[in-house]
Formats: sequence, C-alpha cells, structure tokens
Amino acid sequence: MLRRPVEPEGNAAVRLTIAGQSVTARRGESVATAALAAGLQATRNAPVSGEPRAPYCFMGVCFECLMTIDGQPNRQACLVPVQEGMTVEPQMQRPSLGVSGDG
Amino acid sequence: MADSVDIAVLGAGPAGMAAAVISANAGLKVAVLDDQAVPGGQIWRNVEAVAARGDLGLFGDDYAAGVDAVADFRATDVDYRPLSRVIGVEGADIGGDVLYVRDGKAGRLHAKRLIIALGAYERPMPFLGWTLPGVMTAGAAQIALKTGGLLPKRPFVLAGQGPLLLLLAAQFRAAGAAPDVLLRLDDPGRKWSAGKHGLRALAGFSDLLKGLKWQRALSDDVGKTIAGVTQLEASGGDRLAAVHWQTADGMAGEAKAATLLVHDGVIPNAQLTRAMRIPHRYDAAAAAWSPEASTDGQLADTDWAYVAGDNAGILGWAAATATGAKAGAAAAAALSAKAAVSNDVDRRLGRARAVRPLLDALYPPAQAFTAISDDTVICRCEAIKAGAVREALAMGAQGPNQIKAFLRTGMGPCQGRMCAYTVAALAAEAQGTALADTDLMRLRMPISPVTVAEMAHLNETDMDLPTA
Amino acid sequence: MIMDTTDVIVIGGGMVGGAIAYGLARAGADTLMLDEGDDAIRTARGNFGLVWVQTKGRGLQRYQDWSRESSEIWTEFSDDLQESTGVNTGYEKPGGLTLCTSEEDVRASEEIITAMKAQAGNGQYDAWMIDRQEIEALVPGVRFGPDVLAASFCPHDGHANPLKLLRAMHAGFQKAGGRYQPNASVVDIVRDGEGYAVLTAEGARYGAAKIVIACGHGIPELAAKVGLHCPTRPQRGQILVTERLQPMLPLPMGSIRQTDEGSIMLGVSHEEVGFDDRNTGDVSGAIAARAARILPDLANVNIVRSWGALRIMPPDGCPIYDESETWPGVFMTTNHSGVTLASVHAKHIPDWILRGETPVGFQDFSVKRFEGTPHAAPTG
Repeated sequence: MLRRPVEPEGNAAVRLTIAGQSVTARRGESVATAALAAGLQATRNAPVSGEPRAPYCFMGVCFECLMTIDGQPNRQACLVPVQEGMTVEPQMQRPSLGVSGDG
Repeated sequence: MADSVDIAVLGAGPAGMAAAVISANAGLKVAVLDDQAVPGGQIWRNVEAVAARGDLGLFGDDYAAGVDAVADFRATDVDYRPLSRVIGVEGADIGGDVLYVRDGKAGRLHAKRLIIALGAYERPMPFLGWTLPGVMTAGAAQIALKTGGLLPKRPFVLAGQGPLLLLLAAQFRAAGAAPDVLLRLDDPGRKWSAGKHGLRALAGFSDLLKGLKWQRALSDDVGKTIAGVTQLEASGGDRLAAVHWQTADGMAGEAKAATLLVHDGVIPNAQLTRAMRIPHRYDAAAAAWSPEASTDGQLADTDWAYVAGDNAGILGWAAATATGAKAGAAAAAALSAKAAVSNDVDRRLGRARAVRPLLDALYPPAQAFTAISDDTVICRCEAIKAGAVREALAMGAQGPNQIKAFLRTGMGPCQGRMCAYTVAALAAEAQGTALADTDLMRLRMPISPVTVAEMAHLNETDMDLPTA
Repeated sequence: MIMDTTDVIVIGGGMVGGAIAYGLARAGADTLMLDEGDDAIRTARGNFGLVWVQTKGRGLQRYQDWSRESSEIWTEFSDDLQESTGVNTGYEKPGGLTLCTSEEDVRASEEIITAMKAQAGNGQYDAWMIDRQEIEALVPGVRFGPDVLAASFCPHDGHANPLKLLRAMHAGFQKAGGRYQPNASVVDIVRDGEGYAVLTAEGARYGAAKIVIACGHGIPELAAKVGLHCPTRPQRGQILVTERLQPMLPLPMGSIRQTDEGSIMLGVSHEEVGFDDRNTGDVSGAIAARAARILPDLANVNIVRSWGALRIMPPDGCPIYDESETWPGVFMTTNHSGVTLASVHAKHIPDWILRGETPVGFQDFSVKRFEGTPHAAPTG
C-alpha cells in the first residue's frame, strides 16, 4: 500500500516495534502510516465480518486503524504520533476483560 | 479551579488559526483544541516539518501558504492544546462547556464563546471492494506523503473526480510517483449544466486555470488516463489485487493494483454541530449538509457558538481564513473586544463563493451518476450492505434513524461518518423524496470514542447516579 | 381524507403498541398499527433490554405476578417470533443481579426482598441475597472491584436485544396480516357511527370498531379526549455503550449488561428533566465512574456511543391498563417495562381488547387506583 523511499535519519528517525518487527519511522508521522509503510497488510479484523481492514482516511474519520498501542487496545493509530520504543499490534480480535487486567 | 477562557476554538486549520489569531490579538483569552500534534489542519498538514526538510516544492503554492499562517499562529498568545479529542459541547448559563479528552482524561473547558472549525473530510464513495486493504482516499495518501514522506506502492490507480484529484496527481508526479492509471469519474450529463455558471466563475478564474494547468501536465506522465468512468470496483482476497471500471460508452477495463486512491470531493465535518442539535441544511449544489448559521458564522439556535471554514460549507482554504477571521471578529465583538479585520477578507470570500457553483456543477458526487449495488458494504463498521438497507426501507423503515434501529447502520465507532450520507441517499431513492427533505441520523456525545477511565473524570463533583 | 375500516387501530408502534398489535393480528383481528415518522421521540429505541422480575411491583403484587408470568412465557414468545419472522431476539434467562456497592445498598436490597416476600403473602418471591464469592462464581473470569459487596439474585431475570425484538414484532405483525401505517401522527379521536375514527396531523382519517392508545408520551393528551386520565411523566435514563468485546458477562447485572453483539451497556440514570433526552457530561462521568468501580478492567474499554431515552413513568412505576367508560372500546396501555411485558402483552391484551376477557386481578392495573392520591383524575 505505502512505501518509504527515503529512510529517516538522525533526529527525524523514531524506532518502534510493529507486529513484532523493529521499524524506523519518521518523526511527525502517525502509527498508522508507519504500520502500512512497514508492510502490515491489515491493521485490524472487522469485528462483525472478520475481514481484514486497513486505514482508509488517516485522519480519524474511518476508524479502520484501530490497533493496540502500548497495551491499550482499539486506539486510532492515525491520531497517535510515533514515539521511540512504542509497541504496536494489529487489532485482530475483539478485546477482552482479562482477570489480570490485560484488557 | 474551573478551566475557563473567553473563546474556545476547535480545530487548528486555516479557519481555526485565523479565528484564534484575530480574537487573541483583540486581547481575549483564547484556547485552541486540536486533535493533531501540530497546527495546520488537513490542508497544511505537517507544514512546519515539510518546510524544514525542504520538501515544500512538492506540494504547490496553496500548501506553502500554510508556512506563514502557522508561524503567525505560533507567534500569537493562544493556549494551544494539541492531541485533544472533542467529545461534546454543552450549553451553560453564559457560554458553554467543551467536553474533551487529553492526556488520558476527559475534562470540561468553559468558554464564553465557541468557534467550531473542524473542517471537512473526504466524501465516502462506496463501491464493491472499497473495504479491501489497499483502498484509501486521496487525502489519506497526501497525509502519508506530508507526514511520513511515503508514496503509494505500485501498481497505483487513482480514481475519482474534482480539482483535488488533479492536485494530488500533480503532487505524486512531482515526487516521482505518478499514478499508473488515472480513472476520471465523469457525470455523462454534466456538460449541459456547467455553462450557466461560466460568467460568475470568472471571479475565481485563477482556480480554474490551476486545474487546467495540472490537467495538461498530468497527461504527460500518467501511464493511462481513462475518462468518462461511471462504475468502479475493486477485487482481491485479503487485500486489493485489481481495479475494474466501466465507462459511459460501455468500455470496460481492469488493472492490477496494490494501491487504489479514490477521491469524490469533500464534505463538511458536521458530527459536532449535529450532536449539538443545531439545524442543518442540505445544499443540493454542493450535495452536502452544513450547519445553519448567519453570515458571521453564528450557529442557528445558539447565542454563543460559531462555525467557520469548510465546517460551515466547502469553499476551500482561502475562504476558510476569511470565515475564520469573521467568526473570530464576531465572537470578539460579542465580548466587547475590537478585532482588526483585514480589508481583503470579504474579497477572498467573494472570489471563493463565485467559483464554487461552477466547481459544484462540474464535479457532482459520484453517487449522482453511479449505482451502488446491493452487495456493496455501505456501513463499514457494522459490515452492512446496501441491499439490507433497501430491504429495511421496503419493510417500512421511514428514514436513517429507523434504519439504524433495524440494522445498526451508524452504531459503530465512526458514528455514521462513513455511512450517514449513503443511508440518507438510499432512503431518498426508495421513497422518491429529495435529499433536502431527509435528515441525517441523530448523533449524541461522545462524538469520538472515549475510554471508561477517561470518561470517569467528568464526574468531577463525584455525584451519585440519580437513582430510582 | 382516507377512509379505512378495521377491527382495531393500535396507536403507537413501539414496544407496547408493537406487542399488542402483533398479538391482535395473530388472534385474527384486522389490525391497523399507526406510527409516527423517523424523527419521533420513540422511547422504544432507547431500551436497556432487561426482561426483569426482581423488585417489580412493590405496592402492587399484581405487577410482580404479571412480570413473573412474562418471564415464564418469554421463551415461547421469542421462539414464535423467530419461527414466523426469522429474527432471533437473543433472549436468555441466566438470572439477574442487582449489585450492592455499599452497606446501604445491601440493606436496601435486603429490605426489598423482605417486603416483597411479605407482600406475596404465601412468601413466594424468588429473589435472594448472594455474597461476593457467589457473584464471582456466577461471573467467572471477571474482576470485580472491592466496592462490590453482595447482590440480590433472581433466577427469573434475563435479557434480550430490544431492537431485534421491535423488528421481530413488526415483521410478525405484518406477516400475520397486520397493516402498518407510518407517518401517521394521531391528533384526535372521534366517534364514528358504531365505532370510532382517528384523525392524523397528516390529514388522514382511519376508522375502527376499537382503538388502543399505546403511544407512550402521546397517551395523556389523546386519552384526555376520550375521558381517560393518564398520569405518566417522562423520566430520562442515560446509557453508555462500549465497543464490541469478547463475551465476558453471562448475566445481566441491573445496570451493566453485555449485548449479544458483544458491546457492554453501562447505565443508568433516573432524571426528572421533562422532555429533554440529551446526554450530559456529568451523568456520563458518573456512569463511567460507577462502571469502573464495579469492573475495574473496563477502564481502557472505549465508549463508542450513548443514548438517552425518556421512560414513560406512571406514578407508582406500575402499568396502567384501562378502558374508557364514556367511550367503550377505546383502551389505553402504558408502562415503562415494554420489553419485559412484551410476552404477556402479545398473549393477554388481545383477549381483553377483543372480548373483554382479562386475566385474574387485571382490574388492579386500572387508573382508578390513583383515586384519592395526588395523581387522581382531575375533577370537574
């Protein structure tokens, strides 16, 4: 879907983990764009139909970019700027209320 | 201690920034809530960083105009609150409260006057396969380019209509990534209606000229341009694999694709004004609903809230700076502060208004001339197809609210941002009524999702729930 | 002016009107259901979905019995609907809990149980207190906050999907030959020969031998035209709805329940604010705070939407069913538990309307019970 022609360097580079993969993103971009640029095919599975979905709008309107960011599920990844050390997972299942509070 | 300001501005795009600057310079205490991390809104997205990395040239003059606007805004004494999500607005004795979420908690900002400048978003254009990963709006690709420096993966198809489509194609071309296929959706019937707007549109001549220039430059580099497209379809398994089209002349075509960008114009972001129960009016020429407001932007049925920019009606960024300034000045005047309005505000507005009817006539939404098949998903959140909506209508559902109760269209996280227009159009089609006589589904706070923990912070008085 | 003749006109297509019309059509009566347009108040659309027995009818045993009977025939009612329409209401009866989050709550719940048992005479009131451990056993794998001390449990309590119920009743009604007329806002009822006619704001006229006024907040005004007094008032309830989650809550817990679609509904308020059905920040905050106290793991769950509905509240909280004395054949039916009572409404109310046959003690629900109280019909 998206490709990164130039790797960011120095202060413009932000390193985070997306779906277990170490990724370098550009400071100022969102987790959603970084995820697609890293090659993620789907940010989530639609809860009703189970089909894979990926962002459509990148501006907070379509809600397809719901991902688990630093342990918190169903966050709109397009409204979260990338930050050093973040951990991001696609939202492939509905969240649950764990006994341990994993959520 | 209550969080209280003279003027709260929602949105930091051209209109929001203009409103904030003019009212703050009039000596008022102004706060700006922005869901982005940096000012600029959508059109000037990330402009400071793009300028700093030397990429302004990719995006053209309209984008570059954002550099000064953002610099002015930054230099003004305004309480700028980025990464804030507005969830609702409540009236109070004087002015009202904006309920919003920031830093993990919901809070209440009291303001004597409110200026809503939440802009616009791309008109959803449902077609078979549009929910496949790999299908995005043209605006989404612009954001990816401006913020991440990212380009669409090839093979890349760009489909849609409107001046922004050509702008985007030009930007990708400048970045060395012109689309492989450009599909121009065209209303076969439109040639006849454009004529009568010609003379008035001369006032906005330069916008038209821009469009023509891009068109010519484009055809040099785009792999293949197909005009007169009236049907679009995307296919694939887990993600987009190919795009199929048909033209009014009956020609069919297809292309393999990894990315399909679509654009069908933009519509005002009216989620908040609708949730506030402000009356909205359908503008048939623009094919969009906007909140009813006075010429200064004061919203109908309120005495303390204003709307400005594309949120009030699509007129583009230059008009947005003008309507933002006017709303800011009006709000300041209401608080007995004198704002300095520059004397070209009305001229900017006049030009934008003059060219709009021609643009609207040249580029009606795709829905006006393409059919939505029963199998097309129209509510993405709840995976509901057009056929199900048509069935509910046949069974007696009267309109969008009943359709929502029957089928759950509009109950997902997007709260109808993606489906409300389509549901209204299907209802009007089934009942043979005009869209102007159809209301969109009702909205309530929270207009954006908020966690239970964030929402609990609104219980600041620790009140007990009123119980039976 | 459109002339139309019918056995029964049911004014109102909500939970109550829908159930009664469905029952009438199935009983073979030629029935016309009149409903307003897309933007009406529609209390039926803001329904929590409980099919609830515990605590019902304090002060009116008949209501407890009526609710209990509802729960006993609800499964059959739901199965019939599914068979004729294909729509599944999602009804389940796992029992229900009213959670106690303070010592006061515990005492209040205990007091209600004692009073209801005494009121039932022979002691037959099936609800009892359970402790924290028993709550955890009923809702395994879920963490309750320390404030949750106890609960009152009733095995007859359950829940259903109210929107599916409404859809099913409408579909079942039409399948059984009922006629549905939307965009019909009734403004007057007049005598018409041997029967009656209703006039709508849209300029239509419909005639019938009998009329059932079941239009929620519209009842008091219409009832007054036919010599009936309806002392109901609006009472707002706000609800927050979460995103879809894995199934976690097998039991409805009074003001927290998980729907068949996976979202959790969090409630609820009881506010006297007239006809204002908006949601407010302070009540939303209070609902969220309470929910987080009860189930701390809800903290990071997203609330995606909310609704506010205006309950149709009789003075004692119990249903009012009555027939006009001066306009025999014109009835009114009102209550604030339309989902719970849908089954008995469909089963018994048609017999009353068509043949004057009523269940035992039905007269207890008459509006006359308010005589001598501030809610009595105005005299003169």
